[in-house]
Amino acid sequence: MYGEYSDFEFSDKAHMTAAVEGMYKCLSENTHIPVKLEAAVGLSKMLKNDIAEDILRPGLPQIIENFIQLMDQVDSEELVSAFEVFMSVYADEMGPHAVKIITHLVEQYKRLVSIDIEDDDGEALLAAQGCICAARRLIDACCKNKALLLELRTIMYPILMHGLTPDGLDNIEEVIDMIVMFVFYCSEPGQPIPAEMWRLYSGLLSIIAGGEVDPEGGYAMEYIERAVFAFINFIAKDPTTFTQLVAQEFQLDPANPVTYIQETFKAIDRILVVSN
Amino acid sequence: MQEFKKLRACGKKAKSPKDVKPVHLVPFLTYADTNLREYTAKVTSGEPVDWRIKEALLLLVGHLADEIDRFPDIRNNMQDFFKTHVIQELSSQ
Repeated sequence: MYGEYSDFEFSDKAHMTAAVEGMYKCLSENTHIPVKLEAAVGLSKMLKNDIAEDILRPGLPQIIENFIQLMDQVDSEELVSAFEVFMSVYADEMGPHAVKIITHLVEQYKRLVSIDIEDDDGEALLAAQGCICAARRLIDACCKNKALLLELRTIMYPILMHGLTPDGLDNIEEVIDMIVMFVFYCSEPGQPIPAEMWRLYSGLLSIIAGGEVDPEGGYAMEYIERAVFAFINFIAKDPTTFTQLVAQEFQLDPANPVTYIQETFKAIDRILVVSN
Repeated sequence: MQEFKKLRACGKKAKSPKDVKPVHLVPFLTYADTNLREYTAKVTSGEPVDWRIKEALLLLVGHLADEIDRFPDIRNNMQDFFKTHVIQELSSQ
């Protein structure tokens, strides 16, 4: 109920403090899942209030731990959204917890996308989308820390690959944004981007342009404007690799190897044909 | 996916015209306050109580947040309501 009234400015600060502390206790000490869930969602709404933000700051590690435990027990989009609010409000303090959180979000995502949509009215799918949104927000918050971002990139890589498949298409916009961030912030000009990341480049080209048998282009054709930012970043950060052969293990036809630039022009041709 | 979002959007509350105080709003809040006080008095004196009445009233008042927010005279009284009826719920078992 305090969450519902979080827009209200209560004049009695002691009352506000007691309410926030009470909700925090419900989240961290209560053993009943519904109570913890309500407290987690309510606290995220209370973060609109500066007093609540300051009160909860020292307990942030405990709150993160509680959220992670709760997400293991409940598949709730509302809960994941609440976690996202915490990551947004405390973006500057999330660095030390980033690896743990992203690892958990990746595990949650893998588990949630494997749940049949008929079994839970799509709640798991919405929660999975929430995991991706939360991960993107956290990566955005950590983008100044290159060493950390490199570590996060390794953890997130399977999800980025899944995002380029038909099953992961619901999250394609977030996935493209994350690819852009990883390429832009993890790479120094003149240093090669790893072959695994270039594989995302090829994958993105493929789902945008499609193949010869796709009369309407790839299944992600409508996201071309967003994908262009990723392409630009790859080319700008690593022009040398762009002109070289696609890594052997990722060549579609090893008998006729192509370069990334050839692959790109082929995709452009295909997009122009489809557009006309 | 859009279907789910549409369904959820349908659940949003319709708002009454701006600046027109719904005639039942204040009487309902008074009713809720009175009943919650009676509930607390019974708990204090050890009489049997039906906690579902309290839960239902608090839930309904929670749903009225947007409506109440539009009227400063009512909004200003909500702090007392919270102090009297809500805050102790955070420490109840």
